[in-house]
Amino acid sequence: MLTLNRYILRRTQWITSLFCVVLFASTSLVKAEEDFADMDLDALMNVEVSSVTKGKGMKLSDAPGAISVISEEDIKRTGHQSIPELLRLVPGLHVARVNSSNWAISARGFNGPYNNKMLVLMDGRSLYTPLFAGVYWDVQDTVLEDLKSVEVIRGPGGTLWGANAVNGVINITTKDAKNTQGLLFSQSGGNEDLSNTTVRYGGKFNDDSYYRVYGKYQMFDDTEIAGTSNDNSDEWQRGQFGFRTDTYTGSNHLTVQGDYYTGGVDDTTGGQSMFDGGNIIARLTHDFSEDSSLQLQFYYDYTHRTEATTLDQERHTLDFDLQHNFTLDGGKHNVIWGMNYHWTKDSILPTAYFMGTPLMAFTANSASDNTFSAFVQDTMTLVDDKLFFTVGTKIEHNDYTGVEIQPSARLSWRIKDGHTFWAAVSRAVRTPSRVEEGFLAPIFPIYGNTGIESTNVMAYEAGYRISLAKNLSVDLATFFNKYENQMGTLGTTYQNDIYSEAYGLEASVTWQADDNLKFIGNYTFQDVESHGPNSAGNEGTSPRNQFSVRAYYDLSDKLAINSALYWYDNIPAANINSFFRYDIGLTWKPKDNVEVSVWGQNLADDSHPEYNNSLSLGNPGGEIESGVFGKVTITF
Amino acid sequence: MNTFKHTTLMLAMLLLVGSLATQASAADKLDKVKCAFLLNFTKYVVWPDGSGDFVIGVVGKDPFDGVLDKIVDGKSAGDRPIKTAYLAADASADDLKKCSILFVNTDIKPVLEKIGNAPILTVGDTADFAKNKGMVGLIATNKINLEINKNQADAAKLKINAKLLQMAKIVD
Repeated sequence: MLTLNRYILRRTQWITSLFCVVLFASTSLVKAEEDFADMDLDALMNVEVSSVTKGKGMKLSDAPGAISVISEEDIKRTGHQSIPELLRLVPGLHVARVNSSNWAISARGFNGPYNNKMLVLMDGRSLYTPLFAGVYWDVQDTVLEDLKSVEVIRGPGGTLWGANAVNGVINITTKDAKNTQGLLFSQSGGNEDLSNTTVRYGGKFNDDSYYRVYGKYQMFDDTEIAGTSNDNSDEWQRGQFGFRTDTYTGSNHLTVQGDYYTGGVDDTTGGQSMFDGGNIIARLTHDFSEDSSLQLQFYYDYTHRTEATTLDQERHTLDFDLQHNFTLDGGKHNVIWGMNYHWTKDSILPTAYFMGTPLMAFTANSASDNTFSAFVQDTMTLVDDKLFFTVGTKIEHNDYTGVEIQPSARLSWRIKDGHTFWAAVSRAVRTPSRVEEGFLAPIFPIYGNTGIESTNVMAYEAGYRISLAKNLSVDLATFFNKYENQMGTLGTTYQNDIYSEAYGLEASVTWQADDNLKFIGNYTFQDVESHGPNSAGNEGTSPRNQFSVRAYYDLSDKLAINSALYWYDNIPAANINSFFRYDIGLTWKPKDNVEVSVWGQNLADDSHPEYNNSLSLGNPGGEIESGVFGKVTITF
Repeated sequence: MNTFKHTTLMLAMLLLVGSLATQASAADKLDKVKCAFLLNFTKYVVWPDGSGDFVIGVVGKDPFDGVLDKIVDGKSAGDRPIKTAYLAADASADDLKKCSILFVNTDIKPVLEKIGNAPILTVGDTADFAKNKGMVGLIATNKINLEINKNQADAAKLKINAKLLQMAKIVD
């Protein structure tokens, strides 16, 4: 009975949320038509004009869906010093810092230190590890000033992006070398973000060819052991350097870039986890015409990670990618298609033993996996400038489960200027990773299963975007996801025996209150219900509610004050209580090329846990402490 | 389980929103946005002292089809009322110099030869406008991106506000 009541209650909430969306949408429709003459510069720069430039292909990322972008302004005005922390700005994403070097980041439920339903890319390079289909966030870095944007798509992106894009895609892109010319030096120092030293220099070989080189070194302090004021012994550091060149010849654009990083994390056993890795990417874009272009990309990626209490793993990855877009029928059809080949080879050895038995190991110490895929998608203009229909599918073959098909259909309706409604139905899969197939951990005990199948999701989404005159914009998205064959471990062997439904609502409001004052508010609601013998622990892994409000305020041309308040609901499965986070920073620009800032972070309390990690002996969850840092940035 | 119900809800939502929708105006949005940019530049650029009407001119064929007149109607730049002027591609130097902002919808080279370093903000929407010594290029992709040739603006003694510069790509 109790279960039934809860069930009804949850349904009611969801329907109420939907009702609110409709109500909000309809009231705002009654208001006057967007008046461009009253818009200021910021608002104008954000007006989408793509549908007017006929035949100009909708970009890969412009598909109708729940999309948010972290802009350069957001990066400057929030004081976050790492990519995972920056993701706190995105509506619908749950970002939890598990301990000093470990983050749990997921959209639409199912979060955890080993969450596995997000696809993460940087400049076209896949960042999630095929080991467990999650991301080692501690090694994903670049010069934050050189980031062009961080685009986050909530919901399935399997049709374009491929397997693992089940709950969302995080697409990080860096600027062209052409746009990062000159010298940049920045240094920060504090008691939590201990130090961050960045040097970047951009120059040009000739008028058509540009480059940049950079080096970066960063140190982070410990978290606290939960419930105590003792150090969690997880301080860490990393160094990274890299380059990027961009060459433009006629209608060709060639990018070659690469990075190398190394670092280490202390752990509670007194040992250290070490990591290092590197990558090189070459990408050629050729424009046949304004409406047609071809992109070829190749990358090689190497990662190596030794954790004192788990595994020593080394991985090589090669990836070839082709994409071609063109228009048909005078721009009525925008077609994009592509092919991809992905090869990865690992070597994994245990590093910790209990009475001679490895804590964690794999049935095969080394494996190489091949994935072939192809996709095609057509965006049709049903009514000029008003109604667009996008349909496509990806077909993929992988070594674990064979052929996987990930289709989607999306409708986008520009009701009038500044009002867009969209709806989508899509299917995506999460193919098994090394862990689910070949894990060997008799002590826990957890075993892989060679017969494991993919998890699939059917996702139903709808959303509404409004941008009103006077600089107010609202973005609403709602979803219902139905998961089948989720992989569970609560038995001793991985089985496809969990079935879940997830639903939720994401809302974001941006209000430019005045020339010098901007507010951004985000609210997220989500809930997951799971069934099946191993389903316990699958529910309640993300907060049901979260919200944040940011204020960007320019006191003068030279002085700005920026602040952000975040609230996260409790997380039952991880035993985490709800908490507030408050950040505030003062930025002073004494000269055009000098910027000095002081930041206070996590000021709402002395310390709080954001997630735990019961599987990690060396680096369990820790409490995040409040901190202060200062930063100087000089450019020439 | 409840997939059908949820799909039905989604469809209901779609229909409800749809029934409330009104007819969108057919006017070209891109033109409106470009004209709104021209109007906005009056706030972000400082001209050497001038008096009388503040003239926004279009040289070459008028691409806006009356939209510019509507956008600037009743507006002023400081205390100078904004007026529009439509000039032929071969307009005289004197006529061109009556404008404070000039939208160049023709080959820019002869226009530049005529106006020299007069304090006129030249704006265009061709791909290499700023590279070809125009001051502000409005480049439409999915949004409008700005390209500013700061050297040209400096030479004409126009002061461009830091915020505008920040949002633009600087070209020289």
